[in-house]
Amino acid sequence: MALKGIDIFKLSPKTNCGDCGFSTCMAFCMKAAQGAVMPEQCPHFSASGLEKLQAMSRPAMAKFTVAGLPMGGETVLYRHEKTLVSPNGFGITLDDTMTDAALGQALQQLQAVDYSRIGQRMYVEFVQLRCLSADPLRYAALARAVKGLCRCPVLSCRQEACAQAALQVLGSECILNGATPENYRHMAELALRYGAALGAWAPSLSQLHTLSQQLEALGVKRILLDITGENEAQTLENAVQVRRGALKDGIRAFGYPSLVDIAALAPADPSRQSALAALFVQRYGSVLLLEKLSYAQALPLFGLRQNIYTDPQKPMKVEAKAYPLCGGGADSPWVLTVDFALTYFLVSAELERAGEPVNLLVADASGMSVLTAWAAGKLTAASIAQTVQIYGPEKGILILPGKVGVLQQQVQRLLPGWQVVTGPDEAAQLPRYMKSRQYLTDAAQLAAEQKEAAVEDSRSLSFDRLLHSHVPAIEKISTDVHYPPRNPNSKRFVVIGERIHCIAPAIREAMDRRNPAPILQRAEQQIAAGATYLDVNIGPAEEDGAQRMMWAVKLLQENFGNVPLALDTVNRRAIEAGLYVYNRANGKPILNSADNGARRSIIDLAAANDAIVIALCAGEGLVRDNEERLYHCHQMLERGLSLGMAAEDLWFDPSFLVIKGMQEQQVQILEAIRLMSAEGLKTTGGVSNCSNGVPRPLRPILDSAMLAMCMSQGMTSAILNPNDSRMMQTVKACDIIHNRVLYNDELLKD
Amino acid sequence: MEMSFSPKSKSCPGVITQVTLGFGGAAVTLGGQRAPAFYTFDDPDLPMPRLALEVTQQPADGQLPRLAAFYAGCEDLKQRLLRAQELPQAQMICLTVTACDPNGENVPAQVCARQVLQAVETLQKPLIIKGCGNPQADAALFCALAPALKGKNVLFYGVKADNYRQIVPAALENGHCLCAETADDVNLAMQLNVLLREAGFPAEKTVMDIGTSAVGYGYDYVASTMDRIRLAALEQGEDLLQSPMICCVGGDVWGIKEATATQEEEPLWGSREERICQLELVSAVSDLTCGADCVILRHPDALQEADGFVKSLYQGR
Repeated sequence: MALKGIDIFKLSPKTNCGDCGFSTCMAFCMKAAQGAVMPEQCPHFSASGLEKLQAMSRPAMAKFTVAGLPMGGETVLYRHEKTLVSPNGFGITLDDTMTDAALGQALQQLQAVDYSRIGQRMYVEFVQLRCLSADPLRYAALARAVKGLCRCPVLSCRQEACAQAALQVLGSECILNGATPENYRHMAELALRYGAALGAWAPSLSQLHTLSQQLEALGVKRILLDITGENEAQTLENAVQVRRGALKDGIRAFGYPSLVDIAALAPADPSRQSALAALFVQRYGSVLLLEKLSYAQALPLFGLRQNIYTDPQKPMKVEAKAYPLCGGGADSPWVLTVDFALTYFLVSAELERAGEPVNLLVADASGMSVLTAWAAGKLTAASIAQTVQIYGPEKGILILPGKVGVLQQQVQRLLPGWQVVTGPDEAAQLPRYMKSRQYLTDAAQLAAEQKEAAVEDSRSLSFDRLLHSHVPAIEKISTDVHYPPRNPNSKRFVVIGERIHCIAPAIREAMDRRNPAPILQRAEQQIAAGATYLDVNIGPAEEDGAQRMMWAVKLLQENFGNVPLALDTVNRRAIEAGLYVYNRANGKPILNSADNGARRSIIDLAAANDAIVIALCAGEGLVRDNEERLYHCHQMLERGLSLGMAAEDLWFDPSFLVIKGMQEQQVQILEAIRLMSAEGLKTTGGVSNCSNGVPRPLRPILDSAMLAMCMSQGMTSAILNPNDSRMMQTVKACDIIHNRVLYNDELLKD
Repeated sequence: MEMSFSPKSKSCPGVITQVTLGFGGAAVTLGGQRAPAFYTFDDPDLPMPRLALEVTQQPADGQLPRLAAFYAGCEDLKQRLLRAQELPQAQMICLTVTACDPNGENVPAQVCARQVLQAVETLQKPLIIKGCGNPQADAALFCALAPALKGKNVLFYGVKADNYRQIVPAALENGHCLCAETADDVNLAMQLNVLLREAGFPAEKTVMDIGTSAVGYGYDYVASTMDRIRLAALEQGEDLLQSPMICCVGGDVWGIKEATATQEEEPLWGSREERICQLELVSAVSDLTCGADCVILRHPDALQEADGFVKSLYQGR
């Protein structure tokens, strides 16, 4: 079922013979993992390999749904190891001796707690129905009382006749929590007949272990293990032993979701029940049954669950919309931010601290922080203007985050009715900014400046027209640095110099003003240090990307002997413009970059223009593991090949991750490079991403070691800072050891 | 069929460093764990985590009747500290000193220190003194207090990369403990411990606050950071992360919306005091589950509930 392509690959013949119809064994195995082909379709797969595959294909923990709620399927004990997949459920308890009044009140309270938090519905998913009367009629009546509630019933009942009566009312989408070592045959028979999931309880873990296997043998698929023990301590032990046994020791019989009857552990003690629920949210409870759940209990418990069950690699997002704060109305100022939950909490807390009526306007930025979203093209002048148009009034004062102050003029042009100003860089500066009403002064000043003539929209002009009318003449500098003519087929490691990047303030300003000096200076330094390609990042540049890129390409190539370049922007028209003026003497242009999500079409652009493309092995968001990396890799490879590209013109970027925070992932990245190299694919990437957040003097230590390890796995290129001498020494040394460069002492001297 | 199952206990090579706070018969030791929190089946001698009650410089909020009743009749900070000390489940007392905050009242450190000394002079239970969060103001306060509290083995809470150089000598000379405080990040926590060791401060006197939050407010990062720290300490024996962890739940919780909104603002949510207690309790339990060796609560009812919860997990041991 949940078998990975890599696992199948390990057992495959690895000969790339092509007899299966796929070009490589890896491609075949990836397809097999998706279920598109059967491993048996490979004529050379060994019998023992196939047998092993069958044994492996069963996950450590069963995964299923009950009443549409996901259960089980966990693969790790702690969320940081990968992610937890099935959020625990909360339930309340009713019994069949309650008076109608008490029942009505309990149901009312159940339904009262139902709200939305960061885009998710928070409500009580389960209702435990305890059978105390031993009277099938009364128990069935209780079942009827909850039938239309859209909550999953848990029938806590070990008596066959009562259970049957309730099942007749409720049908399949419920849990019959009643199997014990004594009655399990009858209960299994009932669960199978009505299609219900079955909860199993035994006085000890060894008996529960046996019971679970007995139920499996009878054909029950959806099993929950009721791990409620004599007391709190024993219940925690059960929870840990069961989950740890399933995931770490491969105990199949324990590979099921759990159920904890917290109401029974601490009767009539709501606070103790809250405390226990908090414990079992983190320690392996799947369905947590309390007596009741008040709003005061629900707020922290639901918040905790939402946090614990977020994917550590997928940021929590808040809904994009307007949030009025401190009594904000349409006339109050509008503060813009992004939908990354932590940013939102920070900004909203500071605005509330300021106490001024305001509207917080949250833009959809794929859950990224402000600067990341801007650099990735997820927060643009157009997207900001659109957000304002959807959620805001016709006019007002819009305050942009200081970090995207560069967008102010463009946003202003798109929103003529508004006064667009730039706010502070950091949320902590907001209270003072808001209280002093600095935005009013800023807005007045900007309004005065706006009287200058409107800029002509150049976006519809042809590249030829643009080149002659919008690209300044290229200045030539005198320099001793020349780009040495290069054989594009050289096997040497390709260093793509990363220093011409508009995230650097000096470069951003130089690009804005078409001031060549800072750009040429960095180019000169990088070429002198041995860069093969220069990356040219002009930012999203929505307004004038085309002329900006043409200018930058010509500036660099005309000054430095047609140095080959990587065109780096999310702006498609800018890439096309860059290609229009690009000189191929020393190598094809590189397009940086495509991915298997929104930027997939950059592959098409590369194919149409005979360019190299850096293909980031990711879809939307960060990749979770190598299964995903290779999936994206093969999807993009197929696309490129189908458009007539050569495989060697797709350079795959495994997507480097930060060591601080994702230390566990690093060996995975090395493994991904090895696997892609084994298929003959080229690889590249921003190696020094790995040391983000590390003090600057220490970064080269990690970066150079990572680079050497990547090169040893077969990496063919990297995007790095050539003026980091330790990195360049590593490249040279590894090229020597790989026998791509003939050794001589001089080579290693700076 | 699989072989029959018998429960396994798992032993860890690492142990959490023992740090003793306070003096005399009331002294309390944190640390000593050789297993994850509450895993008494892995370590039958697993020490219990500790609970502290936080007292703020401001009088109890009159809008919270249960809190006001607890401190009823107390006329000043000194009396409130003594009242806090009477709560049997509170093993330590934490005094949070905010008056020295330059962005607040900005009371000079010496003046602040005199007020504190007068208030704590008769306390017997171990004392935690938590600063306002401003590194320089806290350093000045701790340095002013350290000599006067010599022999009381106090925990100064609020030592950061920005102020440890000033605080370490005063703490060393007067025999106090320090709480190293960092933002929510494994590497930062480790780094500050390295700095403290390099400055000659002993591990046996160091605890850490790794930057917790209220549940629901970025607690995903908190849980993972604490889990990673505790696993590194126990399973990999990483001694720089073996310091006991302490969490100021009151500070994490009381400022969030669920705790500040009045019943009029959020009629569905019910009593504000009940919300605060539940938030403190659930946040404290979550911190403890992730390995906190001490949680500091501000509401005495929440502390008593947390105490009952902890003891319930040690039944039969």
